[in-house]
Parts: sequence; C-alpha cells; structure tokens
Amino acid sequence: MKRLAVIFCLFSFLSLAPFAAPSIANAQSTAVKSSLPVRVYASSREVTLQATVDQIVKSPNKAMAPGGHVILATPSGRLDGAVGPYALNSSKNGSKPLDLVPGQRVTVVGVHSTFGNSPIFLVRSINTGSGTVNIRTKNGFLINPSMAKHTTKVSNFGGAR
Amino acid sequence: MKKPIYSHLFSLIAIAGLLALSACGGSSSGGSGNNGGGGGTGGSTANSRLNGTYTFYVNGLDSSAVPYSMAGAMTLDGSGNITGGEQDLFDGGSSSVDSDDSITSGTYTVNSDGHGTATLNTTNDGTEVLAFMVVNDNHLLITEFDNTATSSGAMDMQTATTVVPAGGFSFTLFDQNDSFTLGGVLTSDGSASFTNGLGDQAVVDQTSGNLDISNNVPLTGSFGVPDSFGRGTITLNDTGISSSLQFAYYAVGPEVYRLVEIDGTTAFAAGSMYSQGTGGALSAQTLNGNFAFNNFGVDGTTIGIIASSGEFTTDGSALVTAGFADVNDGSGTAVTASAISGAYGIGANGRGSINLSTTSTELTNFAVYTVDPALNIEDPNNTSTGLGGALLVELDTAAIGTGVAVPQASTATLSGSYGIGIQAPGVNSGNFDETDFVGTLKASSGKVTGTVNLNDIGVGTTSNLAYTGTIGADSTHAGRLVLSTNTSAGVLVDAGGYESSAGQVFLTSSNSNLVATGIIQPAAAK
Repeated sequence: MKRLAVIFCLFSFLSLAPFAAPSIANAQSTAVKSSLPVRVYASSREVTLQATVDQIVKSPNKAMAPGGHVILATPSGRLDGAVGPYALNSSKNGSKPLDLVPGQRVTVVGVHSTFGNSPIFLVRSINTGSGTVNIRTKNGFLINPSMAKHTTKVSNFGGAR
Repeated sequence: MKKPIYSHLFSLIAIAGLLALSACGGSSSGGSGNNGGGGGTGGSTANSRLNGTYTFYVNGLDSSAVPYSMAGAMTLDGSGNITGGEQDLFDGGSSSVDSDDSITSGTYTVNSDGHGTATLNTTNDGTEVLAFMVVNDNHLLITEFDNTATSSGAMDMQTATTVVPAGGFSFTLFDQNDSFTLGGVLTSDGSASFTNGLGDQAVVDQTSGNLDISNNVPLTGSFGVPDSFGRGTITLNDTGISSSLQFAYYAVGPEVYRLVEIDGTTAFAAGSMYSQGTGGALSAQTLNGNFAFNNFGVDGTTIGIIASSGEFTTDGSALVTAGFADVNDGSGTAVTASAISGAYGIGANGRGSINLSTTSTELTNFAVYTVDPALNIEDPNNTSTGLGGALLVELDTAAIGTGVAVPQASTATLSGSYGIGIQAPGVNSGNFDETDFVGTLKASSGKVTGTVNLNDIGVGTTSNLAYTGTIGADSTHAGRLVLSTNTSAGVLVDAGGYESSAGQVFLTSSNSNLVATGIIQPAAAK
C-alpha cells in the first residue's frame, strides 16, 4: 500500500504562486464565519471528559441520532455519546474497534452538540485505559475502517486563493 | 469487486413501502437476486429511443456499505439489446479495482414513460442491473439496481470515441471513502500531456488526523488515446499528496470526460472533467448573474454526510450579493432557505473561489472552476439550455465535497413531465447504508405523481414504486421550490429545490432523518 510523503520544503515557494482571484475574495476567505452551528463538530469546542459507560445502544430508536451510541455517566449527568455507524457495528468492514461494557471507566474527547432539539455528545475518541479508539478525525469526520488503508498527506501550498 | 449482499436500509423515513408494495402496483425483489426487469427483443417500442454508444457513471455504496464508483460505456442497438461495452470500477473498502472490464452483452427495456432497466453481462463483475429514466434520447438518470450495490449517476450519448482532451479543462473529484476531494484546472496539449495544472484539495492526514486543505497545488499529467468505447487512461501527478492518481476516463464527447480512479492505492476518487471552451481569458465576469447549485460530501455531524443545494447571485466582479441554501447534514434539523452572501473571484485560468458568510450552515469556502459557456454540465449533449456555469469543491474544515453551479434564469414552478433521481445515504439500525431511486415525475397544478425504481441496498430493489405529492414555489424565496412525495406506505422524500434555466432542479431533502441529494430534469415528450 502506497504511503504518500510530506514534501513541505520542495514547493514552499508556491505559497507565493500568483493567482488571479481578486483580493477581496482572498480577504473574505480569512474573515468568514468564526463559529460553526452547534450541530457541527468544531474542534474549538472540544472537551475531554471522564465518564463511566452506562449503556451501549447499537440500534437507536428513531428519536435518537443515527448510528451507535454510548450512554455515559458523568459527574454532571448522563450523556448521549454518538459514535457513528462504524464504531459499534463495523463487522461490515471486518473489524470491531470499540468493545465497551457497562461500568467501564473511559475518557472521551468530543464536542457537545445537538440532534434536532436534543443534546448529544459527538465522540471523537475513547480511551479505555488500555488504548484509544479514534472514531472521528480531529475536525470531526467519521473514520471509515477502510479509510486508514489509504494514507494521504499533503504539503502546505498556502491557503489563499 | 462488489461484495454479496449483507445489510439493509431504506430509511428511517419511509419506504417501508417494501412491505406494502402491492398496494402501489409495485414489486420488490426483497434482496434476492437481480431484478432486471427483462428487456431484449420484442419489448416496448420505446426501446428505439436508445440507439448508440452511451457513456455512464455512478457513485454509491456496495452491499458492504463501502463507497464505490463506476464509469463505462455501452452500445445499445435500439431494439433492447446491449451489444458491447466496457467499464472500470473501484470498491474503496476492499481496495479492489476492476479495470477495463468488458460488457459482453445485455438487454434493456424502455417503458413508454421513459423509465426502465438495463441488464449488463460483464466478464469480471458478473451481471449488473441499472435502472434508468430517459430524460431525453441523449441523457438518462441512472442507478445501479441490484443487490450488489446501489448508486446514482447519469448516462449520456457518446458523440465521439476517438477524441482526446484538448485545451483548457476544469475537473472535480470526490473520494467518500477517504474524505478526499480535489479540483482544478489543466491545459491539455491535445496529444498526451496536461500542463499548467493548478488545483485545490482537502485530505485527511492519516498520521496526524488533521484535515489538510491546500490551495495552489501544482498539477501535471498525461493521458493515452481512447479505445473504441472512448476509454483511455489519465495519470495525474498531484504534488499536494506527492503521488500520482491513475484514472480511467470515458469520453462523452470532446468536452466531457468521466473519471474513475483505478490505481487502488492512493485514493478512491471519481468525478468529471469539462472543457473550459475557447472563449479566451476568463474572469469573474464568466460567472456573472444568478446560479443554482448543489453540493455533496462528508462532514463532522452524526452520520458524516452532507447534502446541500441553493442559489446565489453574483455581481460579475467580486461579490455574491444574495442567495439561499438548503443543507441537510443528518443532524436532525435540516436547514432550509438559509441566506448566503459573500465574495468570489475567477482567475484568467478559470480557477477561483467563492467565500460565503453564513452562521447557519457549513457552506463557507469553495474552490470554483468555470466550464465552457456553451456546455450544459448536467446534460452535456444539450446545446440550447442551461449552458455554462462552474464546478465546485467545498474546502471547509467542517465539510468537504463537490458540486456544480448552473445558470438560473427560470424560477417558475414545474409543470409537465420530468425525470427524478435521488441518492440517500444514511444509517439504519446503526449501520451506514444507502438508498437510490430514479424514475418519472409528472407535475400539474401543484400536484406530482410518478413511478420510480428504488434500490435500498440490503433490503432489495423495488420496481415501479408509485408515489404522489405536491410541488410549489416557495413564496418567500424566489427560485426555490418545495417538493413533498409519499408512497402508500409513507413519506418518500421531502425536499427543497432550486431550479436552473434548463428546468432542472437541484434537490436537498428536508426530512429530519434522511440526508438526500437529487435532481429533477425535464423529460422530452415521446
């Protein structure tokens, strides 16, 4: 499997590459939207919580967010941890990365969000003490179990268009 | 290869119609084998509508819920027979690429209302069934309609098989499996090489876990001459990931090529490449006026899928002065007609950006690539309506994806005969899944009726599923339509739509538990 390399230096000069878009567009690209809607994963809102696994829900009812759920007991109350469609039911892709049992102590990283009008916790990673399972990328995209086979890295060509 | 059936789906929303189809006059295969719908000689006289070689593409999920894409070309004889062809496909999760597979034979049936099925016999990939809706004799909406995969795409009359790309081109690629998107511009020398390439991309760095967004990525490449089915190969050297992407391409004609990645290692991307035309230097003026747009990709919400459509107005120089967008990201609350505005720019090479200011959607930063002002992106052989526009790549940390923007000159509600195609990736009982359907839509006095062929991978295919509903103009958002459809078993899909000048409508579902993207296109009377 091919792994793609970072080549930071080679093309660093390209950050100065000319691009004909008007300056107003470039300025706008750095000025827009400082905060995302609460339903969207924003790493700036990420928190780390100590919790106890209360319940595992592989097949949620229609009132719940699609995908698997880990109901967590925290000092501030129960938390509905959304772990997406792959983490608990990944046999389709040949693996089962998240194997939790009620009563288990975990450390979760994620973002408080909403599903409809209900609070939900979008889980990015769970540490069980014996290891960390990553469920989302750092910006919140779900990690497809097949995804890791196709590693990609990029160089930094600068952000201005 | 696409894997045996395994799961389930159709949505949380409705199509439990599978349980009550007899009441709709439909039938369901229940996931037990292909449901080709027959075809062959002696069938409907409408079979004569399809005569020639057609280029097709689809993107969707296989029965293991893994993203796959396929492109190819097949020859239809006008009498219900498929006499040959070839195709390329990948399955992302299984790292499987089936390149240059022969379509050896097959049959097809076009019903009198334009919808039908085609059964393709291939050398390596067994039998495939496509359901389709003939929008016009040169353009079909299609979905894979068997128990190995479901997907949505299009099929277009191939107008030239021996052409190679020449001149300036814009392209976009999307890889759902790896959360990777790439768009850009290239100049072809007309013989073997791409030069002056410059692109924009987003890719998840598997080491750091970061989403890396890069602009101004230098691109070079090469391509081979096409075979008798218009198939050739392209190598795209992407310095942004320090690697080469290998594609099979299938020509629709001199200006449009369908691409599917076949290297099986770097990524699993598919998309299209369009000519920029020969009008000379491009600028913000090239993208001037009112546009309808769509976008589909991945994001950081509950199910990780986002669909959107909308409309925007540019001033021809630097500003997006007004617009609305519908967004459904599976978070339980669809955003409808959210106001958007911002800035944009187009370089002399046709590459530029649109930067929207919005606090209610993920739609913020887009790379944009203009196409030939004489080209209809969604119906490439249509040379009279819906011409021009641009390809879009969303490059936000919250969402990435690809779409198109098409000139919008008509904002009337629909009336007459249309084709409809819907792609609804989603989750059922915790697992990722997808449903697609394609078929007819007849609109009259605000009412709609139609018949679709539906594939809910894991549950099975449903033929001739009847639906009724309503469609009407959004009284407070000019240019936006509201569609509601039901089968006898419940809601099929509800959606907001944005109509372009060609009478085609970009749809985004407004259901709280169904993420769907789709298109309506006017069907030629026969």
